[in-house]
Order: sequence, then structure tokens, then C-alpha cells
Amino acid sequence: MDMLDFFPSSILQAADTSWQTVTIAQRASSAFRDHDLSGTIGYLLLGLLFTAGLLTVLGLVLIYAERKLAGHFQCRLGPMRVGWHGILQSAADGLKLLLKEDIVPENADKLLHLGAPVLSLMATVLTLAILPLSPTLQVVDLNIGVIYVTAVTSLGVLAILIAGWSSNNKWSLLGAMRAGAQIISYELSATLSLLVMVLLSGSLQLSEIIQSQSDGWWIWKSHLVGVIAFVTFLISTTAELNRTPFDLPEGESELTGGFHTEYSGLRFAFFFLAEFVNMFVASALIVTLFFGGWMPFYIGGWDGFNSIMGLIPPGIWFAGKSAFFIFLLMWFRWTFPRLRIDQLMSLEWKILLPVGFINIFLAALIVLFEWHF
Amino acid sequence: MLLTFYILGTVSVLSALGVLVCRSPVYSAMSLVCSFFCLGGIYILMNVEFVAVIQILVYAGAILVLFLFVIMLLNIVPTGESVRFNLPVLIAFGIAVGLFAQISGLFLGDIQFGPKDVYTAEAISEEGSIGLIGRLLYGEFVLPFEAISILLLVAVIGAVIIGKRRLN
Amino acid sequence: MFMLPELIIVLTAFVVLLLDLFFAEEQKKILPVLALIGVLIAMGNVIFWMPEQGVVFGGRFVFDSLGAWFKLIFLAASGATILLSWDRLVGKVSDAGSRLEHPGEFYSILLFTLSGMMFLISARDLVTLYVSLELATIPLFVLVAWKRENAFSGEAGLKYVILGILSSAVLIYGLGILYALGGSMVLEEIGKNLSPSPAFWLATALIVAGIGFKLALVPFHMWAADVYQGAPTPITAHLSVASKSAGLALMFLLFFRVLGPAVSEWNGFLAILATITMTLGNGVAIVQQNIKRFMAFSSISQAGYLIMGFIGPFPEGMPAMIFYLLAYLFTNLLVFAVIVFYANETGAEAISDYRGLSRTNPLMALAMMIGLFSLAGIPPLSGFVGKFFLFSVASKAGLHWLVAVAAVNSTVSLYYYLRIVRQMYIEPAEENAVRLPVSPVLASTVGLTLLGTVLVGILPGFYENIAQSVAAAEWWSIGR
Repeated sequence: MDMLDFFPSSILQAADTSWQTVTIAQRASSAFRDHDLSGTIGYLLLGLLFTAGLLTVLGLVLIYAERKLAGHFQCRLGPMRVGWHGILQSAADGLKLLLKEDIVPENADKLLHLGAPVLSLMATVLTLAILPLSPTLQVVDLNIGVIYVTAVTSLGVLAILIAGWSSNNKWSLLGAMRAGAQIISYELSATLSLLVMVLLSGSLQLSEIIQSQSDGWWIWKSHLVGVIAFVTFLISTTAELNRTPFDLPEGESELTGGFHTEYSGLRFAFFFLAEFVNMFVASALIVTLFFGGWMPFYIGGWDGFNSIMGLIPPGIWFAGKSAFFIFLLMWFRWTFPRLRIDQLMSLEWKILLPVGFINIFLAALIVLFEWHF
Repeated sequence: MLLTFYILGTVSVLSALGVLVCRSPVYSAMSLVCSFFCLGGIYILMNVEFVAVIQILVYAGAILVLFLFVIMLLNIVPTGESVRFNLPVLIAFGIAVGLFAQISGLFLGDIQFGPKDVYTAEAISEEGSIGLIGRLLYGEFVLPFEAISILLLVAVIGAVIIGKRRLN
Repeated sequence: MFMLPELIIVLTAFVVLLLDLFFAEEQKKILPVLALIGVLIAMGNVIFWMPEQGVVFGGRFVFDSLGAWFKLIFLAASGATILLSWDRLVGKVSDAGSRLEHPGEFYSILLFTLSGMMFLISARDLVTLYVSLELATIPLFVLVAWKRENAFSGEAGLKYVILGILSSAVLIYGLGILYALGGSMVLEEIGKNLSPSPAFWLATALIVAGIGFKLALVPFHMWAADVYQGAPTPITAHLSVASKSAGLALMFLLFFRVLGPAVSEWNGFLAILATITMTLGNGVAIVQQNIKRFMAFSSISQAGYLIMGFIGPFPEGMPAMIFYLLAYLFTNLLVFAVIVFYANETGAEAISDYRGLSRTNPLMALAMMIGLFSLAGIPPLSGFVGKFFLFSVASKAGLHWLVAVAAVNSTVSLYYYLRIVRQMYIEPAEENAVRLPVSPVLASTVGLTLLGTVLVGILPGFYENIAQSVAAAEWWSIGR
């Protein structure tokens, strides 16, 4: 057992659509069956380290990307001072937040105030563990992956509500209430879109959903149904992330900072980090469900093109596709104005939800009569 | 495995007690979340991941959020009242203990829930718990399943009728 | 296809609900007609299939002639409720406080609870049974609280919800233990596997308490008076007839499909339950001043008579119970039709408000008097015939003391029913009392129920028909 050798090989090996998924958890359990204690512990540690490392790297990269993009969208340069083109800016920010004084308001509910950021980050980390970044880069592959993601992300609402309430501040409470109402509402249409993809691929397991796209991504294969599901999922996931144009929970012009008004230092960093990593999780889900996950981009009949595409390793494919959707989400943020609360609610309940219901009905018909390609 | 079960079980029971003992309703609700989480863990130990995740999704993710919403909107302050042991409480306590003893007695005895040898661990792992549940819901139990959907519709209509602001 | 009546009802409910969305306020007057047509078609369907037996979903839903009688009773009661609430929902009432809003939702919810009751009597496994019970009761919570701006209606709704949920919890606790003991979901299977044990008796006690709440048997009757008083009057009528019949259907299914085979001797227990229920209901009814509270206690005592039908070597008493249920259906709805008529025009609900009704509206007063006499059991009205059959069940079982108690109770009830008759016929009318207009819908309701009240007692053949259905019903071959 040398665990160091699978890492480079799996990431850099050329993409092959017939790949079997081997998760880190599976490696650990097979090592356990072989009575290889050091292997078991090694793989378990590797899983932990991988998740923690992913969290850190994503935090650093995404925050830098957002600031840089925001700058360029506004015809500025963004951070330029720390490192080459400000590339170390996030690290410097993180250090600053670490060293900042951690203020807990006098009348806050101490225990819950301290617990909420941890709960928020926990919900995010739990989803990171099942994202299939490549056939071999996945910590666990649950057979109920899609529902698991929905369940775990819904815990984030709890964290936000608790944070807003325990701060004992009206802005915080109002922000938390808005966030709760918004996330619960939009979770419905997000789940409906997920269910459409579950219907089409016939599995809840993320790796199987990817495998089902080996002959074409669902966004192409499923006629209009997949496209509608993709659009509703994109909109509702943006709302669930509390990002503009749905950032009412922290609308700074009315609510100061929303639910995290009273947070500072490391605890604020936790919320911030969770928010950014959630953005990655959302993009990764979109990629997995609609855009073939780590599958390369093939065009039927173009063998030369396909073989070149196949040379690019799956991990890179996944990263690239996710990066595109993260860019899309950031683009939204700096392009669209914020919605009013009643517009937000009527968008969900009067447009997205009925569309979602009709869509899932159509999807069921398509699957029943095998109309998809 | 057994150790995990005992840890989860103990935490679950303790946090269920916390729901009763905590004076702040928010703490009670959070204890309930904790208890549901441990129950979810126990379901995973029993190889029914689907039930576990639904437990977390529905209870922790949806119902408890609604609880918290209501608690926060109503702004309930802890009353500081503690449980007093007067006669009705004692009678209720006695009945609860009796019921608990009776149910535990049932479980310790040789009882079998559901048909024998149909839903074994092998059968579940072969088809997956979702497949089995789906087959049951849309096969054998399709009538109550559809009846529940009507029931939910009625509940929604009723909530709107009773809760809606009066239009003048 | 044996589920067609239920499907028609559900479909009608959806149609009514959808049309309500598209109709203008003026056009909504057609909604009660639609609902009534649905109920009538379903009724015709049930009668058409009555002699046959059918199994749907592998025996989880059974249509038999006994169930068909129950279904007819549910359908007739719901049809009458539609008629009673008609004027209130389309706004043709003089008393503004009686007006009800949202006709589409009202009728669809009424039809949904009806479908729940119909599924209930056909259910043959625990899950279907419990779900259809909830489908029958939860919509009623909404209907009771329909006039939510009215404090009484809101209070009634709240009480009904809390106690209803509590009783459901108690009942499902009992059903859960039965499932553990019987190892099956199917009622007959559980019945075969049960044997008396402490856990069995615990389950029985919990089930009796749960059913007691639904049927408003003493000592689980506390909710009845407040809920009956607060609910809109047509819904009170529905509660006292349809909901009570559904409770009896549930009791029938659980007692004699599940618990029956394990227990040989119910009679003493049932006799005591019947005695305290009818005695307390009668005793408290004497002092009531509000007519709806009065009818609540009257219907509690009627439930006491009704459960006498479970006495004796089963199913000897069943035809008598169903016959009395039929008579009670018409009689009680007749009385409620007059109460609704009076409340629609004046909004008055006190017993003393009825004085001099015979001067202003002699026909209505006459109908009310006939209804009250039938409730009290005066020959030759159907209430008397029904009571006669029920008492003979108890006497056949050797419970002569119960017959005596019931007879005394009937006499007492005559006293307090006569209180209303006295107000209508002997007390003078108010100085400026005028004749109250009777709407055509209510007039025909009164006419129909009056016809039923008289005919069920006089026409021979009802009882024989029911007895044949009971004898032919499917459980008879499987049961004990």
C-alpha cells in the first residue's frame, strides 16, 4: 500500500469514460478487510486531510477570484498588492481575521452564538465529502448521494437561524428570518430539479449519475426537460446561496450585515468560508447532474477531437466545468440588481414551483416511454 | 458497531431529555435536532440510509426550521417555571412509565414486525432500501399513499383558509 | 371498479376546487349543485353494486354489502350537509353572521372528508384504515373553524384539533401494539394471531379510548358540546351524523375484525359504556339553553343507544345498529334542517328563541316536532322502530337491566325534547313576530328528511334488507 502513488496517477491519468469509481472510503474498507491497519488509518486520514485541504484551497481561491472578478467587472484591478497580482490577498485576509478580536455581544446567547458558525461550516464540509471530483477523488460514494446533499445543505438554514437569533440584534434576526424563508422556499424547486435528474439517470448515487452520462451529458440527452431543470436549479441554488440577486438576508443597505452582523474574527470567517465553499458545492452539483461530471466533452463521430479531449484528465475536466459555473454565479452577482422580498417569493411560488411540477411530470413521461436519447 | 450504537443511543436519549428540561424553547428545539441526528445515525447502522437521510431532511431540515421560525417570531422568553410534581403530573408520569414498561416488554419478547424473511439485510442490500420502499409505496400501499396526498392538499387548503388575512 | 364511488367523490372534489378558481363570484352558485350531483352519482353507484362483493388492491380495499350501507349513510349525510350549507355559502341568508365564505374550498373539503369515510369502511389493513380515518377527521377540523373571525368557531376548531390529534395519537399507539402482536398489517391476520395478554389489553384500552373520542362516548365526550356549539350549524349536523357513523364504522372494523376473535365477552363492558354514555348525555341535555349544545348532548346519548348494537353474539346486533343509524340520520338531519333554517333567518340559537314558531311557521314547527319525537322514540316514527330493534338486541343477550336503563333514558329524553316543543307550541310568540321566509333548498331538505324519518319506520323491508346484507357480507365467512 503506498497511498501517495494513487494521488498523482488518478488526477493526471487521461480520462476514460469506462472508469470504475474507487472512493477513498472503499480503499479504506478494502484495506481493513486485508487486515492492513496502517492502510486503513492512512486512507481515513487521507479522506479527512483531503476534505480539509479542499476546504482551505477553495476558500483561498474563491475569495481571491471573487474580489478579482468584482474588480474587473467594475473596471478596477481588484487586489494587486500582496503577491503577484494580489494572489496572496486571501491568505493575508485569513491571517487578519485569525488575529482579530473575537467579540461576543453582551446579551447574546453565548453557547448558540459560538455554535452557529461551526454548524454552518459542518454542513458544508459534510457535502464536500461526497462530491465526485474524479473517479478516484471522492471520499465516500453514498447510494443516496442526491438526497444526502439536500439533507445536509438544509442544515445550513438551522445555522443561519441560530446565528441570527442568538446575536440578540434585530438586524441579525431579520436577516436570519429572510434567509430561512428564502432557503426553505427555494429548496423545493431545487429538489424538484434534482429529482428530474434522478428520474432520468435512475439513480441517487452521484457516481452512477455520472456514469449514466458516458454517452452524452444529460443537458443534451434529455430534450428540454433537462434544460428547464438546469435553469430552475441554477436560479434556486443561487437563492439558496443567498447571493445576489437574492441576497436579501444580508442586504447591506437595509440590514447592515444580516445574520452575521454581530460576528467578527474567526467566527465571521467561518460563515464567509461556508458561503464560498457552498458556491463550489452548488457548481459541482450542477456539473455532476447536468454536465457529465468528470466526463470529457465528446462529439459523436469526431474521433480525432475526442481522443484529444480524452487526454485531459478527469479531475481537470471537473475543475474546469465547476470553475465555469462559479464564474457564472459571480457574474450574476455583479450584474443583476437585488429583488424585492415579494418578488422573490412570487418568483418561487408562482413561477419556479409550478414549472418544476410540470417539468417533473414531463420527465416522468420521457423516462416512462424512453423518449430520451 | 455496538459501541457506536450505544454512544448514539445515549446521546439521543439525553438530548431528548434535554428537550423537556431546557427552559429556553430554542435550546429545546436544538436538542431535538441533536436527538434526530443520533436517530439518523442509528438508522445508518441498520443499513437503511434512505430513512436516515429522510429523517434528517424532514425533521432537522424542515420541521425544526419551522419550529425555530415560530419560536423566534413569537419571541417566547423562558418562563423560569420548573416542572412541579403535583398529582396530575404524577399520574401522567405513572402512565408514561407504565406504557414504556409495556412497550419494552413487548420488544424484549419474541415479536416480529412485518412479514418474516422478506425484508432481510440481503434483500435490502440487493435492491437498495429506496427501491424496496418505492415498490411498497407505489405497489401494496398505493391507496393510503394517494390518500395521504389528498390529506396534505386538504391541510394546505385549510391552512390558507384559516390563516389568510381577510380581504376587505 | 368497486372503488368507483370513492373515485367519483374525489374527482368531484377536485372539479369543484378547480372551477372555484376560474368562476366569478356569481357563477359559484353552481358549485353546490355540482357537489350534490357527484354525491348522487356515487350513491347510485353504491346502490347498483350493493349485492356484489369486490376486492381491489389485493384485498386492501373491499367492497361488500355491509360497507355499502355505511357508504350510503355517509353519502346521504354529506348530501344533506351540502343542502344545509347551500344558502349560507351563496349568501342567501338574512342573518349576516350565518354567512359562510369560500364555497369551492368548503365543498371540496366536505367531499374529501366524505371520501375518507368511504375509504375507512372498506379498509382492510392498518395503514389504509388509519390514513382514511385521518382523511375523514382532519378536514373536519378545518370545517369546524371555518368562521374563524367568530370566537366560538375558532375555539371549537382549536379544541377539536387538539383533542382530535390526541385521540389519534392514542389510537395509533394501540394500533402499533396490535401490529407488534399480530405481526401483520392485514386486519384479519392480526385478528387470527392475537391472544389475550397484558399488551393486548393495553392496546384494547388505547383503542377504546381513541374510538371513544371519535364517537364522543362518555368519558371521552368533553369536546363535543363546545365543538358542536362553535362549528357552523351545517357542520354541526355533519359532525353529529356522518362523523358519528364513521366512528361506528371504525369501531366495527377494529372490534370485530381485529379484537373480536381474541375476546369472547364484550357484552358487560359495552353495556356499561352504553349506560354511562346515554345517562350522562341525557342528564346534561336537560339543563342546556343553547340548541346546538343541547343537540350535542342529545347526540351523545344517541351514541349510547347506537353502541348497544355491538352487544350480543356478533353480528346479531349489526342490522339493528345500521337500521337505527339510518333512522337517526334522517331524524337528526330533520331537526338540524329546522335549526339551520331558524339560524339563517334570525341568527338565534337559544332554545327560548323558538317560542311561538308554530304561530309564524307552522309547517316548520310541525317538522321539528316530528323530528324531536322520533329522536325520543315515539311510535310509529323511525326512531321508535330503531330503538325497538336495538333494545331487543340487548334483551336477547340477556341484559335486561340495560333494556330497563335505556327505556328510562328514553323517557327522560322525551322530557327534554318536549321542552322545545313546548316553546314552539305553548309559549306565545313575540309581539311583532312575522312569518319567516323558507328558502326552496331548505324546504326541500326538510321535506326529504321528513319523508325519510316517517318512511324508514313505516315501510317494511329496510330491516330485512340490512339483515340480509349483514349476513352476506364478506367477513361473515372469514370472521369467527
